[in-house]
Amino acid sequence: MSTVAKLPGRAEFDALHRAHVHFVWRSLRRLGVHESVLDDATQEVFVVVHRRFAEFRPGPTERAWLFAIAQRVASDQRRWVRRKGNLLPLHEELVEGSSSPLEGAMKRQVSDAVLAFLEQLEEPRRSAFILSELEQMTGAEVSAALGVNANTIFSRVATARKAFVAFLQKRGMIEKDPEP
Amino acid sequence: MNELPPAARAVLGQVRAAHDPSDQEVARSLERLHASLSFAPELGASADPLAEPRAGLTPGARGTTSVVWSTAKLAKLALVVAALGGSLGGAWLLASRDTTVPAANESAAPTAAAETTGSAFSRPGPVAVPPAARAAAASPAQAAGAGRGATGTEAPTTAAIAARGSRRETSAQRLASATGRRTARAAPAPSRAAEAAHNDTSAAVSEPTPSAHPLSTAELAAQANEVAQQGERPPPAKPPSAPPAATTELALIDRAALALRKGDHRAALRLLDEHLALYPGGVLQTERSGLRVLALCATGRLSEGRLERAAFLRAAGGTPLAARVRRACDAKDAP
Repeated sequence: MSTVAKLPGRAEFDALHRAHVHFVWRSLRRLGVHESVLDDATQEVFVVVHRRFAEFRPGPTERAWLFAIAQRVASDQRRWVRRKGNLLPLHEELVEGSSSPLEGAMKRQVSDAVLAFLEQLEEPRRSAFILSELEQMTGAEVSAALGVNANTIFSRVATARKAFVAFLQKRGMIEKDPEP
Repeated sequence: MNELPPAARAVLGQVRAAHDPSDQEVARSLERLHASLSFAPELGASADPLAEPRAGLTPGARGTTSVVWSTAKLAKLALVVAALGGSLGGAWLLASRDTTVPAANESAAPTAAAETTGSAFSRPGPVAVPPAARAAAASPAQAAGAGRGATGTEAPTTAAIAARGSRRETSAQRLASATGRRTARAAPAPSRAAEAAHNDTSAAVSEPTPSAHPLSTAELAAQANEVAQQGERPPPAKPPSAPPAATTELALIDRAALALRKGDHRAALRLLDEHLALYPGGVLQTERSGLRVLALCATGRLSEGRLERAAFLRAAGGTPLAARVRRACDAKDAP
Protein backbone atom coordinates (compact mmCIF):
# COMPACT_ATOMS: atom_id res chain seq x y z
CA MET A 1 0.00 0.00 0.00
CA SER A 2 1.57 3.23 -1.08
CA THR A 3 -1.16 5.70 -0.40
CA VAL A 4 -0.02 8.46 1.90
CA ALA A 5 -2.35 10.55 3.96
CA LYS A 6 -2.85 14.08 2.80
CA LEU A 7 -1.22 16.63 5.03
CA PRO A 8 -3.03 19.93 5.41
CA GLY A 9 -1.25 23.13 4.59
CA ARG A 10 -0.51 25.27 7.57
CA ALA A 11 -2.66 28.13 6.31
CA GLU A 12 -5.74 25.98 5.76
CA PHE A 13 -5.25 24.20 9.07
CA ASP A 14 -4.91 27.52 10.86
CA ALA A 15 -8.04 28.78 9.18
CA LEU A 16 -9.94 25.72 10.30
CA HIS A 17 -8.59 26.12 13.81
CA ARG A 18 -9.52 29.78 13.98
CA ALA A 19 -12.99 29.10 12.70
CA HIS A 20 -13.80 26.25 15.04
CA VAL A 21 -11.60 26.26 18.12
CA HIS A 22 -14.25 28.08 20.14
CA PHE A 23 -16.88 25.57 19.08
CA VAL A 24 -14.63 22.62 19.87
CA TRP A 25 -13.58 24.05 23.22
CA ARG A 26 -17.04 24.82 24.52
CA SER A 27 -18.43 21.56 23.12
CA LEU A 28 -15.81 19.61 25.05
CA ARG A 29 -16.65 21.55 28.20
CA ARG A 30 -20.35 20.89 27.75
CA LEU A 31 -19.67 17.25 27.02
CA GLY A 32 -18.15 16.96 30.47
CA VAL A 33 -14.43 17.47 29.97
CA HIS A 34 -12.83 18.81 33.12
CA GLU A 35 -11.81 22.43 32.89
CA SER A 36 -8.24 21.67 33.90
CA VAL A 37 -7.67 19.47 30.85
CA LEU A 38 -9.76 21.37 28.34
CA ASP A 39 -6.71 22.64 26.49
CA ASP A 40 -5.28 19.14 26.20
CA ALA A 41 -8.60 17.76 25.04
CA THR A 42 -8.90 20.51 22.44
CA GLN A 43 -5.39 19.67 21.35
CA GLU A 44 -6.37 16.03 20.93
CA VAL A 45 -9.34 16.97 18.78
CA PHE A 46 -7.18 19.01 16.44
CA VAL A 47 -4.50 16.32 16.31
CA VAL A 48 -7.19 13.96 15.09
CA VAL A 49 -8.47 16.64 12.71
CA HIS A 50 -4.95 16.98 11.32
CA ARG A 51 -4.62 13.23 10.90
CA ARG A 52 -8.00 12.89 9.25
CA PHE A 53 -7.80 16.07 7.25
CA ALA A 54 -8.53 14.26 4.02
CA GLU A 55 -12.01 13.56 5.35
CA PHE A 56 -12.72 17.18 6.11
CA ARG A 57 -15.46 18.66 3.96
CA PRO A 58 -15.87 22.42 4.23
CA GLY A 59 -19.46 23.48 4.42
CA PRO A 60 -22.52 22.85 6.50
CA THR A 61 -21.30 19.52 7.87
CA GLU A 62 -17.93 20.66 9.15
CA ARG A 63 -19.10 21.41 12.67
CA ALA A 64 -20.90 18.08 12.75
CA TRP A 65 -17.65 16.35 11.84
CA LEU A 66 -15.75 18.22 14.53
CA PHE A 67 -18.42 17.54 17.12
CA ALA A 68 -18.22 13.82 16.42
CA ILE A 69 -14.48 13.91 17.10
CA ALA A 70 -15.03 16.00 20.22
CA GLN A 71 -17.59 13.48 21.46
CA ARG A 72 -15.04 10.73 21.16
CA VAL A 73 -12.32 12.68 22.95
CA ALA A 74 -14.75 13.73 25.68
CA SER A 75 -15.86 10.16 26.14
CA ASP A 76 -12.26 9.07 26.60
CA GLN A 77 -11.70 11.86 29.08
CA ARG A 78 -14.71 10.94 31.17
CA ARG A 79 -13.65 7.30 31.13
CA TRP A 80 -10.21 8.32 32.33
CA VAL A 81 -11.68 10.34 35.19
CA ARG A 82 -13.91 7.43 36.19
CA ARG A 83 -10.95 5.04 36.19
CA LYS A 84 -8.85 7.36 38.24
CA GLY A 85 -11.76 7.78 40.58
CA ASN A 86 -10.39 10.74 42.46
CA LEU A 87 -11.66 13.62 40.43
CA LEU A 88 -15.12 14.95 40.27
CA PRO A 89 -15.96 17.45 37.60
CA LEU A 90 -15.76 20.98 38.82
CA HIS A 91 -17.21 23.96 37.08
CA GLU A 92 -14.86 26.74 37.76
CA GLU A 93 -14.42 28.69 34.61
CA LEU A 94 -14.35 32.43 34.83
CA VAL A 95 -17.10 34.13 32.95
CA GLU A 96 -15.67 36.81 30.73
CA GLY A 97 -17.27 40.16 30.20
CA SER A 98 -18.66 40.67 33.68
CA SER A 99 -18.80 44.28 34.72
CA SER A 100 -18.68 43.60 38.46
CA PRO A 101 -17.75 40.77 40.83
CA LEU A 102 -21.40 40.27 41.67
CA GLU A 103 -22.39 40.03 38.03
CA GLY A 104 -19.53 37.64 37.40
CA ALA A 105 -20.55 35.49 40.34
CA MET A 106 -24.14 35.35 39.17
CA LYS A 107 -23.08 34.47 35.64
CA ARG A 108 -20.91 31.73 37.00
CA GLN A 109 -23.81 30.38 38.96
CA VAL A 110 -25.92 30.19 35.82
CA SER A 111 -23.06 28.67 33.87
CA ASP A 112 -22.44 26.10 36.58
CA ALA A 113 -26.10 25.22 36.66
CA VAL A 114 -26.22 24.56 32.93
CA LEU A 115 -23.08 22.44 33.07
CA ALA A 116 -24.45 20.52 36.02
CA PHE A 117 -27.63 19.88 34.09
CA LEU A 118 -25.71 18.68 31.04
CA GLU A 119 -23.67 16.40 33.22
CA GLN A 120 -26.67 14.60 34.60
CA LEU A 121 -28.30 14.27 31.20
CA GLU A 122 -27.89 10.95 29.43
CA GLU A 123 -25.47 11.12 26.54
CA PRO A 124 -27.75 10.86 23.51
CA ARG A 125 -29.93 13.64 24.86
CA ARG A 126 -27.02 15.71 26.02
CA SER A 127 -25.48 16.01 22.57
CA ALA A 128 -28.85 16.73 20.99
CA PHE A 129 -29.56 19.41 23.59
CA ILE A 130 -26.12 21.01 23.23
CA LEU A 131 -26.35 21.28 19.47
CA SER A 132 -29.98 22.27 19.35
CA GLU A 133 -30.32 24.64 22.28
CA LEU A 134 -26.84 25.97 22.89
CA GLU A 135 -25.41 25.88 19.38
CA GLN A 136 -28.80 26.61 17.88
CA MET A 137 -28.43 24.16 15.04
CA THR A 138 -31.51 23.16 13.10
CA GLY A 139 -33.06 19.74 13.55
CA ALA A 140 -31.61 18.62 10.24
CA GLU A 141 -28.13 19.78 11.22
CA VAL A 142 -28.29 18.02 14.55
CA SER A 143 -29.57 14.94 12.83
CA ALA A 144 -26.60 15.01 10.46
CA ALA A 145 -24.17 15.69 13.27
CA LEU A 146 -25.31 12.81 15.42
CA GLY A 147 -26.11 10.41 12.62
CA VAL A 148 -29.66 9.69 13.70
CA ASN A 149 -32.93 10.53 12.04
CA ALA A 150 -34.69 13.82 12.64
CA ASN A 151 -37.62 12.33 14.54
CA THR A 152 -35.27 10.79 17.06
CA ILE A 153 -33.56 14.14 17.46
CA PHE A 154 -36.86 15.93 18.02
CA SER A 155 -37.80 13.36 20.64
CA ARG A 156 -34.46 13.66 22.44
CA VAL A 157 -34.50 17.44 22.42
CA ALA A 158 -38.09 17.56 23.66
CA THR A 159 -37.28 15.24 26.55
CA ALA A 160 -34.16 17.21 27.38
CA ARG A 161 -36.09 20.48 27.34
CA LYS A 162 -38.59 19.14 29.83
CA ALA A 163 -35.77 17.95 32.05
CA PHE A 164 -34.05 21.34 31.76
CA VAL A 165 -37.15 23.25 32.80
CA ALA A 166 -37.68 20.90 35.75
CA PHE A 167 -34.03 21.29 36.70
CA LEU A 168 -34.21 25.09 36.70
CA GLN A 169 -37.46 25.06 38.64
CA LYS A 170 -36.01 22.73 41.24
CA ARG A 171 -33.11 25.11 41.73
CA GLY A 172 -35.41 28.09 41.96
CA MET A 173 -33.89 29.69 38.90
CA ILE A 174 -37.23 29.99 37.12
CA GLU A 175 -40.74 29.99 38.46
CA LYS A 176 -42.80 26.87 38.51
CA ASP A 177 -45.73 26.61 36.17
CA PRO A 178 -48.93 27.88 37.74
CA GLU A 179 -51.28 25.14 38.81
CA PRO A 180 -54.03 24.58 36.22
CA MET B 1 -41.49 19.62 19.84
CA ASN B 2 -42.42 21.54 22.93
CA GLU B 3 -40.75 24.91 23.26
CA LEU B 4 -38.73 26.15 26.19
CA PRO B 5 -40.38 28.86 28.28
CA PRO B 6 -38.82 32.32 27.85
CA ALA B 7 -37.16 32.20 31.28
CA ALA B 8 -35.37 28.95 30.42
CA ARG B 9 -34.37 30.38 27.06
CA ALA B 10 -32.93 33.39 28.84
CA VAL B 11 -30.81 31.10 31.00
CA LEU B 12 -29.41 29.40 27.93
CA GLY B 13 -28.83 32.76 26.29
CA GLN B 14 -26.61 33.77 29.18
CA VAL B 15 -24.29 30.81 28.83
CA ARG B 16 -23.95 30.45 25.07
CA ALA B 17 -20.62 32.24 25.08
CA ALA B 18 -19.69 31.47 28.67
CA HIS B 19 -17.76 28.34 27.85
CA ASP B 20 -15.56 29.80 25.13
CA PRO B 21 -11.78 29.89 25.49
CA SER B 22 -9.99 33.16 26.06
CA ASP B 23 -7.92 34.72 23.30
CA GLN B 24 -4.79 33.57 25.08
CA GLU B 25 -6.02 30.01 25.27
CA VAL B 26 -6.80 30.08 21.56
CA ALA B 27 -3.35 31.41 20.71
CA ARG B 28 -1.71 28.84 22.97
CA SER B 29 -3.71 26.04 21.38
CA LEU B 30 -2.58 27.00 17.88
CA GLU B 31 0.97 27.43 19.07
CA ARG B 32 1.04 23.93 20.53
CA LEU B 33 -0.42 22.49 17.34
CA HIS B 34 2.20 24.23 15.24
CA ALA B 35 4.88 22.80 17.46
CA SER B 36 3.62 19.25 17.25
CA LEU B 37 2.23 18.78 13.76
CA SER B 38 3.66 18.73 10.29
CA PHE B 39 2.13 20.53 7.38
CA ALA B 40 2.27 20.18 3.67
CA PRO B 41 4.57 22.58 1.87
CA GLU B 42 2.42 25.17 0.23
CA LEU B 43 2.64 26.62 -3.22
CA GLY B 44 3.79 30.19 -3.05
CA ALA B 45 4.98 29.59 0.46
CA SER B 46 6.98 32.80 0.44
CA ALA B 47 3.75 34.71 0.91
CA ASP B 48 2.99 32.89 4.11
CA PRO B 49 5.30 33.67 7.00
CA LEU B 50 4.17 30.51 8.77
CA ALA B 51 4.41 28.19 5.80
CA GLU B 52 7.56 26.50 6.96
CA PRO B 53 6.91 23.64 9.34
CA ARG B 54 7.45 24.48 12.98
CA ALA B 55 8.76 27.88 12.14
CA GLY B 56 10.23 29.13 15.34
CA LEU B 57 7.41 28.44 17.74
CA THR B 58 9.42 28.25 20.87
CA PRO B 59 8.44 25.87 23.65
CA GLY B 60 8.22 28.54 26.25
CA ALA B 61 6.18 31.00 24.25
CA ARG B 62 3.11 31.98 26.18
CA GLY B 63 2.32 35.30 24.62
CA THR B 64 -0.45 36.57 22.45
CA THR B 65 -0.96 35.75 18.81
CA SER B 66 1.03 38.76 17.70
CA VAL B 67 3.98 37.65 19.79
CA VAL B 68 3.78 34.20 18.26
CA TRP B 69 3.75 35.65 14.77
CA SER B 70 6.69 37.88 15.46
CA THR B 71 8.65 34.93 16.76
CA ALA B 72 7.69 32.94 13.73
CA LYS B 73 8.84 35.63 11.36
CA LEU B 74 12.21 35.81 13.05
CA ALA B 75 12.55 32.07 12.87
CA LYS B 76 11.57 32.16 9.23
CA LEU B 77 14.64 34.29 8.57
CA ALA B 78 16.72 31.74 10.44
CA LEU B 79 15.24 29.01 8.30
CA VAL B 80 16.17 30.84 5.12
CA VAL B 81 19.76 31.11 6.32
CA ALA B 82 19.77 27.45 7.20
CA ALA B 83 18.30 26.52 3.86
CA LEU B 84 21.05 28.36 2.01
CA GLY B 85 23.58 26.23 3.79
CA GLY B 86 21.65 23.04 3.53
CA SER B 87 19.88 22.85 0.22
CA LEU B 88 20.29 19.10 0.25
CA GLY B 89 18.23 18.94 3.42
CA GLY B 90 15.61 21.16 1.85
CA ALA B 91 15.35 18.93 -1.16
CA TRP B 92 14.97 15.98 1.14
CA LEU B 93 12.19 17.78 2.96
CA LEU B 94 10.21 18.26 -0.21
CA ALA B 95 10.88 14.74 -1.39
CA SER B 96 9.75 13.27 1.87
CA ARG B 97 6.25 14.61 1.54
CA ASP B 98 3.58 13.30 -0.72
CA THR B 99 0.65 15.64 -0.84
CA THR B 100 -0.76 14.68 -4.17
CA VAL B 101 -2.54 11.51 -3.19
CA PRO B 102 -5.85 11.99 -1.40
CA ALA B 103 -6.67 9.83 1.55
CA ALA B 104 -8.03 6.48 0.61
CA ASN B 105 -10.58 6.21 3.33
CA GLU B 106 -13.52 8.52 3.32
CA SER B 107 -16.15 8.71 6.00
CA ALA B 108 -19.70 9.18 4.83
CA ALA B 109 -21.49 9.43 8.16
CA PRO B 110 -20.38 12.17 10.52
CA THR B 111 -20.41 9.85 13.48
CA ALA B 112 -18.06 7.53 11.70
CA ALA B 113 -15.51 10.29 11.75
CA ALA B 114 -15.06 9.72 15.44
CA GLU B 115 -13.87 6.20 14.89
CA THR B 116 -10.14 5.87 14.85
CA THR B 117 -9.27 3.75 11.90
CA GLY B 118 -5.68 4.82 11.71
CA SER B 119 -6.10 5.35 8.02
CA ALA B 120 -4.76 8.83 7.87
CA PHE B 121 -1.99 8.98 10.37
CA SER B 122 -0.18 12.11 9.47
CA ARG B 123 2.08 13.10 12.30
CA PRO B 124 5.47 12.28 10.83
CA GLY B 125 7.09 14.87 13.04
CA PRO B 126 10.81 15.24 12.64
CA VAL B 127 10.91 12.97 9.63
CA ALA B 128 9.50 15.77 7.58
CA VAL B 129 11.85 18.43 8.86
CA PRO B 130 15.50 18.63 7.92
CA PRO B 131 17.57 18.53 11.07
CA ALA B 132 19.60 21.53 9.94
CA ALA B 133 16.55 23.67 9.42
CA ARG B 134 15.07 22.55 12.69
CA ALA B 135 18.23 23.28 14.59
CA ALA B 136 18.26 26.75 13.12
CA ALA B 137 14.64 27.50 13.76
CA ALA B 138 14.03 25.87 17.06
CA SER B 139 14.75 27.00 20.56
CA PRO B 140 17.74 25.47 22.32
CA ALA B 141 15.62 22.63 23.58
CA GLN B 142 14.29 21.85 20.14
CA ALA B 143 17.70 22.24 18.59
CA ALA B 144 19.04 19.69 21.00
CA GLY B 145 16.27 17.38 19.98
CA ALA B 146 17.13 17.90 16.35
CA GLY B 147 20.70 16.97 17.01
CA ARG B 148 19.70 13.76 18.68
CA GLY B 149 17.29 12.96 15.91
CA ALA B 150 19.66 13.48 13.05
CA THR B 151 19.05 10.00 11.78
CA GLY B 152 15.44 10.88 11.15
CA THR B 153 14.23 7.96 13.20
CA GLU B 154 12.51 9.79 16.02
CA ALA B 155 9.06 8.97 17.19
CA PRO B 156 6.33 10.92 15.45
CA THR B 157 5.56 13.42 18.15
CA THR B 158 8.95 13.87 19.66
CA ALA B 159 9.60 17.30 18.22
CA ALA B 160 6.62 18.50 20.17
CA ILE B 161 7.65 16.99 23.44
CA ALA B 162 10.08 19.63 24.51
CA ALA B 163 7.58 22.23 23.46
CA ARG B 164 4.89 20.65 25.53
CA GLY B 165 6.85 19.59 28.56
CA SER B 166 6.15 22.71 30.47
CA ARG B 167 2.57 22.66 29.31
CA ARG B 168 2.13 19.16 30.67
CA GLU B 169 3.30 20.38 34.02
CA THR B 170 0.78 23.16 33.92
CA SER B 171 -2.05 20.76 33.22
CA ALA B 172 -0.92 18.40 35.90
CA GLN B 173 -0.74 21.17 38.39
CA ARG B 174 -4.15 22.44 37.48
CA LEU B 175 -5.52 18.92 37.92
CA ALA B 176 -3.76 18.52 41.24
CA SER B 177 -4.97 21.94 42.25
CA ALA B 178 -8.53 21.01 41.37
CA THR B 179 -8.22 17.83 43.37
CA GLY B 180 -6.83 19.76 46.25
CA ARG B 181 -9.69 22.20 46.16
CA ARG B 182 -12.18 19.39 46.14
CA THR B 183 -10.52 17.83 49.16
CA ALA B 184 -10.51 21.16 50.87
CA ARG B 185 -14.21 21.54 50.29
CA ALA B 186 -14.90 18.29 52.08
CA ALA B 187 -13.11 19.58 55.13
CA PRO B 188 -15.12 21.63 57.62
CA ALA B 189 -12.88 24.68 57.66
CA PRO B 190 -12.31 27.27 56.34
CA SER B 191 -15.50 28.85 55.08
CA ARG B 192 -16.30 28.60 51.40
CA ALA B 193 -15.99 32.30 50.86
CA ALA B 194 -12.56 32.36 52.42
CA GLU B 195 -11.59 29.38 50.35
CA ALA B 196 -12.66 31.20 47.24
CA ALA B 197 -10.52 34.15 48.14
CA HIS B 198 -7.51 31.92 48.39
CA ASN B 199 -8.24 29.65 45.50
CA ASP B 200 -10.58 30.65 42.77
CA THR B 201 -13.45 33.07 42.66
CA SER B 202 -15.66 30.53 41.01
CA ALA B 203 -15.03 27.78 43.51
CA ALA B 204 -17.09 29.57 46.10
CA VAL B 205 -20.15 30.14 44.03
CA SER B 206 -21.79 26.79 43.84
CA GLU B 207 -21.17 23.12 43.90
CA PRO B 208 -21.54 21.51 40.52
CA THR B 209 -23.66 18.65 41.70
CA PRO B 210 -27.28 18.69 40.64
CA SER B 211 -28.40 18.60 44.23
CA ALA B 212 -26.57 21.79 45.13
CA HIS B 213 -28.73 24.76 46.01
CA PRO B 214 -28.07 28.17 44.57
CA LEU B 215 -26.71 30.71 46.96
CA SER B 216 -28.75 33.73 47.83
CA THR B 217 -27.92 37.08 46.29
CA ALA B 218 -26.70 38.33 49.64
CA GLU B 219 -24.31 35.40 49.97
CA LEU B 220 -23.08 35.93 46.46
CA ALA B 221 -22.54 39.61 47.08
CA ALA B 222 -20.64 38.93 50.30
CA GLN B 223 -18.43 36.39 48.60
CA ALA B 224 -17.87 38.58 45.60
CA ASN B 225 -16.92 41.55 47.75
CA GLU B 226 -14.50 39.47 49.73
CA VAL B 227 -12.95 38.18 46.56
CA ALA B 228 -12.73 41.69 45.15
CA GLN B 229 -11.05 42.97 48.31
CA GLN B 230 -8.42 40.31 48.30
CA GLY B 231 -7.70 40.69 44.63
CA GLU B 232 -7.14 38.04 42.08
CA ARG B 233 -5.35 34.91 43.05
CA PRO B 234 -1.89 34.89 41.49
CA PRO B 235 -1.20 32.06 39.12
CA PRO B 236 0.19 29.00 40.88
CA ALA B 237 3.95 28.79 40.99
CA LYS B 238 5.38 26.31 38.54
CA PRO B 239 8.35 24.42 39.95
CA PRO B 240 10.75 23.90 37.08
CA SER B 241 11.71 20.45 38.26
CA ALA B 242 8.20 19.07 38.65
CA PRO B 243 7.92 15.82 36.72
CA PRO B 244 5.39 15.86 33.92
CA ALA B 245 2.29 13.86 34.71
CA ALA B 246 0.13 12.08 32.22
CA THR B 247 -3.19 13.74 32.58
CA THR B 248 -4.57 13.01 29.18
CA GLU B 249 -4.34 10.57 26.35
CA LEU B 250 -2.15 12.96 24.42
CA ALA B 251 0.17 13.43 27.38
CA LEU B 252 0.81 9.70 27.63
CA ILE B 253 1.60 9.41 23.95
CA ASP B 254 3.86 12.43 24.11
CA ARG B 255 5.75 11.07 27.08
CA ALA B 256 6.15 7.71 25.39
CA ALA B 257 7.48 9.39 22.26
CA LEU B 258 9.89 11.42 24.35
CA ALA B 259 11.12 8.34 26.17
CA LEU B 260 11.63 6.64 22.83
CA ARG B 261 13.63 9.54 21.50
CA LYS B 262 15.77 9.59 24.60
CA GLY B 263 16.49 5.92 24.13
CA ASP B 264 14.53 4.83 27.19
CA HIS B 265 12.62 2.20 25.29
CA ARG B 266 11.40 0.35 28.36
CA ALA B 267 9.86 3.51 29.75
CA ALA B 268 8.26 4.09 26.38
CA LEU B 269 6.75 0.62 26.41
CA ARG B 270 5.52 1.11 29.97
CA LEU B 271 3.82 4.37 29.03
CA LEU B 272 2.28 2.81 25.95
CA ASP B 273 0.96 -0.03 28.08
CA GLU B 274 -0.50 2.53 30.43
CA HIS B 275 -2.12 4.24 27.49
CA LEU B 276 -3.57 0.94 26.36
CA ALA B 277 -5.01 0.32 29.82
CA LEU B 278 -6.54 3.77 30.13
CA TYR B 279 -7.56 4.35 26.54
CA PRO B 280 -8.02 0.99 24.83
CA GLY B 281 -10.12 2.58 22.12
CA GLY B 282 -8.62 6.05 22.34
CA VAL B 283 -8.35 8.47 19.50
CA LEU B 284 -4.57 8.09 19.48
CA GLN B 285 -4.42 4.31 19.31
CA THR B 286 -2.79 4.50 15.89
CA GLU B 287 0.04 6.53 17.36
CA ARG B 288 0.28 4.07 20.23
CA SER B 289 0.58 1.10 17.89
CA GLY B 290 3.20 2.76 15.73
CA LEU B 291 5.31 3.85 18.69
CA ARG B 292 5.04 0.41 20.22
CA VAL B 293 6.47 -1.21 17.12
CA LEU B 294 9.36 1.23 17.15
CA ALA B 295 9.97 0.62 20.85
CA LEU B 296 9.77 -3.16 20.60
CA CYS B 297 12.22 -3.20 17.72
CA ALA B 298 14.54 -0.83 19.52
CA THR B 299 14.66 -3.07 22.58
CA GLY B 300 15.53 -6.08 20.46
CA ARG B 301 12.18 -7.82 20.78
CA LEU B 302 12.29 -8.36 17.06
CA SER B 303 9.83 -11.20 16.61
CA GLU B 304 7.24 -9.46 18.73
CA GLY B 305 7.96 -6.19 16.97
CA ARG B 306 7.57 -7.76 13.54
CA LEU B 307 4.25 -9.28 14.51
CA GLU B 308 2.92 -5.95 15.72
CA ARG B 309 4.49 -4.26 12.75
CA ALA B 310 2.48 -6.46 10.42
CA ALA B 311 -0.71 -5.63 12.30
CA PHE B 312 0.08 -1.93 12.21
CA LEU B 313 0.81 -1.95 8.50
CA ARG B 314 -2.43 -3.77 7.81
CA ALA B 315 -4.39 -1.14 9.72
CA ALA B 316 -2.39 1.97 8.93
CA GLY B 317 -0.15 1.06 6.04
CA GLY B 318 -0.91 4.24 4.15
CA THR B 319 0.20 6.60 6.84
CA PRO B 320 3.43 8.59 6.83
CA LEU B 321 4.58 6.71 9.92
CA ALA B 322 4.20 3.42 8.10
CA ALA B 323 7.45 3.93 6.22
CA ARG B 324 9.38 4.10 9.48
CA VAL B 325 7.47 1.27 11.06
CA ARG B 326 8.10 -0.84 8.00
CA ARG B 327 11.84 -0.43 8.47
CA ALA B 328 11.78 -0.61 12.25
CA CYS B 329 12.93 -4.14 12.97
CA ASP B 330 15.26 -4.21 10.02
CA ALA B 331 17.20 -1.02 10.62
CA LYS B 332 20.35 -1.27 12.65
CA ASP B 333 19.76 2.09 14.23
CA ALA B 334 16.14 1.71 15.13
CA PRO B 335 15.11 4.51 17.47
